[in-house]
Amino acid sequence: MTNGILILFGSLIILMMLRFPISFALGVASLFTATYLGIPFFNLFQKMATGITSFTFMCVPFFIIMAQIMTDGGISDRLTKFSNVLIGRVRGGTALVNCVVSMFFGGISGSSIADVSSIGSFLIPAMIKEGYDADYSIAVTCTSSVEGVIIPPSQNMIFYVVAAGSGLSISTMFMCGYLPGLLLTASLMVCSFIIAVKKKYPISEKKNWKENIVIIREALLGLVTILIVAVGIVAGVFTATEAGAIAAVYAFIVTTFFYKTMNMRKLMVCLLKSLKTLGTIMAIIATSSAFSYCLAYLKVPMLVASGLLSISSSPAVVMFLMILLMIILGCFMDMGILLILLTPILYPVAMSFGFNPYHFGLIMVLTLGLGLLTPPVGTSLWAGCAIANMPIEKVIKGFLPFYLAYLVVLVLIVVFPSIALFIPMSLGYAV
Amino acid sequence: MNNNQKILMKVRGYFDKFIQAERYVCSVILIIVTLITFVQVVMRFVFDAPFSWSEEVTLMFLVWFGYLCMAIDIYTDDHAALYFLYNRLSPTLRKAADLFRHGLLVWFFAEMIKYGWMLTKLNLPKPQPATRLSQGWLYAPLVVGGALMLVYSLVNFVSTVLKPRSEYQRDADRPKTIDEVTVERGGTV
Amino acid sequence: QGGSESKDAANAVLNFKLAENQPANNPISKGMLMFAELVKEKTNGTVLIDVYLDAQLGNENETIDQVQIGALDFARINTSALASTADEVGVFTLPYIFTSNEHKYNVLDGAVGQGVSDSLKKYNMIGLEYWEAGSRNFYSTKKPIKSVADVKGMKVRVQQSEVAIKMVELLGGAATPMAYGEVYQGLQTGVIDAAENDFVSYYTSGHYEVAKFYSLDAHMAPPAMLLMSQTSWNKLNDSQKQAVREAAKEAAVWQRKAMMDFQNESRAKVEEAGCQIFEVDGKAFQNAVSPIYDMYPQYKSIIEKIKAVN
Ligand code: NA
Ligand code: NA
Repeated sequence: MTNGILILFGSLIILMMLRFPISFALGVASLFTATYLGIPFFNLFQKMATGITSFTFMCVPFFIIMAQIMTDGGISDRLTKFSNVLIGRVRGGTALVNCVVSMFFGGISGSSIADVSSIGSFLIPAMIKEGYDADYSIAVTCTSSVEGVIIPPSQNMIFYVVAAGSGLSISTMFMCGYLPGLLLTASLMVCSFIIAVKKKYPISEKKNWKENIVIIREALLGLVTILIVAVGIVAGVFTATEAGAIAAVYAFIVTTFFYKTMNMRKLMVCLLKSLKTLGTIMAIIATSSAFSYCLAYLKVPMLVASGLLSISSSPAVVMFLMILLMIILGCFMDMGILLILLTPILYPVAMSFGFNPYHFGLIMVLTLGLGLLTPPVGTSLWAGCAIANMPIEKVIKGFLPFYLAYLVVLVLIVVFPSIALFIPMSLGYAV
Repeated sequence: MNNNQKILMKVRGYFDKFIQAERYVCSVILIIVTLITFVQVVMRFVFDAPFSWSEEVTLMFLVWFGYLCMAIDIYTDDHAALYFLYNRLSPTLRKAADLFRHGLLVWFFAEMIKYGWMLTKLNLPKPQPATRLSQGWLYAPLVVGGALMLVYSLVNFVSTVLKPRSEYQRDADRPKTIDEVTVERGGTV
Repeated sequence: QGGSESKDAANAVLNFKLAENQPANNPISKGMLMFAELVKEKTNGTVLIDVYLDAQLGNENETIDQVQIGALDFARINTSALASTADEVGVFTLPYIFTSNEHKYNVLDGAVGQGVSDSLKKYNMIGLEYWEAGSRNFYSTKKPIKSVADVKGMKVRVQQSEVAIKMVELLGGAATPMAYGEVYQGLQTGVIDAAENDFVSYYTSGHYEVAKFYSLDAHMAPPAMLLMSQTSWNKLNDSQKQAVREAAKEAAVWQRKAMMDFQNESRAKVEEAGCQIFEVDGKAFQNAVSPIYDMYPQYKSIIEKIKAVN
């Protein structure tokens, strides 16, 4: 057994170090392990086919298309102007706008990198021009972009639900994301505001109200997608997958007929862009099913649980260790992949220590979200640096107060599960 | 550029066109799946008469989509991967790593075709519950996608064999675009 | 050296795997563990079976494939899942095919059950006994189902299966296939008005919290089967084969009773929680769905035989 585990993880790490695609590294490592243990390859390839055959997983393409259409259709620009109307007239206004717009954008997209590259591409230069420090501008943009992975729709939550594989409900998982998303936004705003006051950052210009009405109307049209997801799921009018399809169709209608920024040719470009993300995700979902099969076969989750139990029998300590592990791994791998990889191992552990499955899901998404902001592999951090054309060494100092604000939220949510569970529980859902 | 490389360039040209077609097929599948699901909601919500087949059909499309879509990135060789060690290797070692990668993938896809075929054959007589379509359709993508990916990996393997070390050096010295940086940082979603 | 190897092989212990998709507390899982224990006992430790619970080796459809191809030795499968592979067992999943539990076991343990079980050979599988998997009944949120008329217009969640969909349609309801994980919310929010399952699932899924009316129409009682791969079966000698059959028999007898007790325990718990349970006239329901039998002409003669059993 020990040898099997060694082969599984050893070959995986070696392959990944040699630039093997992470997805197929999972597959090849599984085949190597199966050869050693005498598991028929048949079972593994069967898993690679059935792994994608999940109705739950189907909302991922829908939400990705929806976000791509909205982004290419200019939603980020409209949301930014809208947020500016809401909160631009205080000290550090543009920084606060940055936090708020990511909350709205997060309700449309689940991608932090899309947030940085679309909103950041004009807000970072705009902030620097207004007189904000560059490291501060990048840090606000990148940290706030993580709001989108917690606020539904969130591909990462779907990965968790699919990888946990025990009949969790996407809808309930989504509902757990709203309050923590708000809390994170608030925490980042407080952090931005304190620094803005201390450094005497500027206040934005006033706009006339006629302009404002156009801005508000256009932004609200886009924000209806948030309502489709939130109300549709809460009211049970449709499932998460259906919400994704409806939101995608709605996004196309709004951008084509109201914003007039979309047409069939541009739609095709949107879809082609989504393929890039989806190809990697589909491959990882397929191969990780085979990998999880090997993990279960080798009883890895049980070994991890008993290993943790030998360190401490306190759920608090175990939770701390799991979070520490996720933060460390988050420095080296992207969050989507880690969620798919770690959930089959950590989920059974968390359950055996009596944590709530949805609460734990939120903790995982939030903790691994931090990995988007930490070097050496921090996709959002790098995207932010690339936009501002700044080396990472000069930027990272600006991140420190925001890491702190992020960790405060994480600790609050770990300690008070009801922040996550309040909405589904008060609506009477089984959690 | 020697003769072999010229032939390869030409071959890759044909493949590029084929890949572009594959991209369009994938996009069309996405549109179809979205529309089926959308209409399903309308049918249930407005007409109170949901289709019993919509879930099955969309899932079938999704599996086909998945295996066609992942094949594209095998050809372009930019599935999410970790680059931080690879980028520090010498040109010779990088070439070796590339050969190793494409070679191992060829083996993996050969196995995929073999077992995909077994699964397809076994499930061919089994009907799906609602549509009565053969369950073989759910496993055939392993054969078709596997075959495409096998060919793509072979092409990549041969391309790597023919790629001179000097080109590796040039790649390393060239400044990178934001998209390339994102790929090299392992970004997915 | 070759000689000593073949001698070892003759005395070798056979290590088999058994796939079960239920958790450890379910009587069917306990029955599988008992079967493994009995096989070990009766073969003097020459056949050892490792039982994997909780669908660790795959869901039912996956493990059927594995057994057929010889990549897995045993799988415990419900006949409703097996029917898409082996059409013959589909007859046991038809609604109201059994008039009572006694009738059900007279059919399954008699010539009809034997015949169906033997037919699995052509799929490279050996059928080892019929096991109890509960009787499925309707439960609803807004009003109780007391007669066929009550089903009319109700949106009823069913499993993704042709028979279940047709059954609900014949009763006048709108069949709504839906993932099991979404049913609780579906009932609560009114996307569906009713669902159907046995007492155990009704209780453990928590559906009893949101759907308080449970009607004892017993529309389906598909049994489970223990399947063994023909490939693995061929590795056994005659006395081992005999031992495996006996072990399955003994464990199944115990399991049927244990499952009934388990159903009654769950029933007591939902009653305690304030759910109302209604007796209904099964005959009326049976008549309403009787056209379904004509949709499966392949079962015509076997249905006659089942009806002839008392
Ligand atoms: Na989001
Ligand atoms: Na932002």
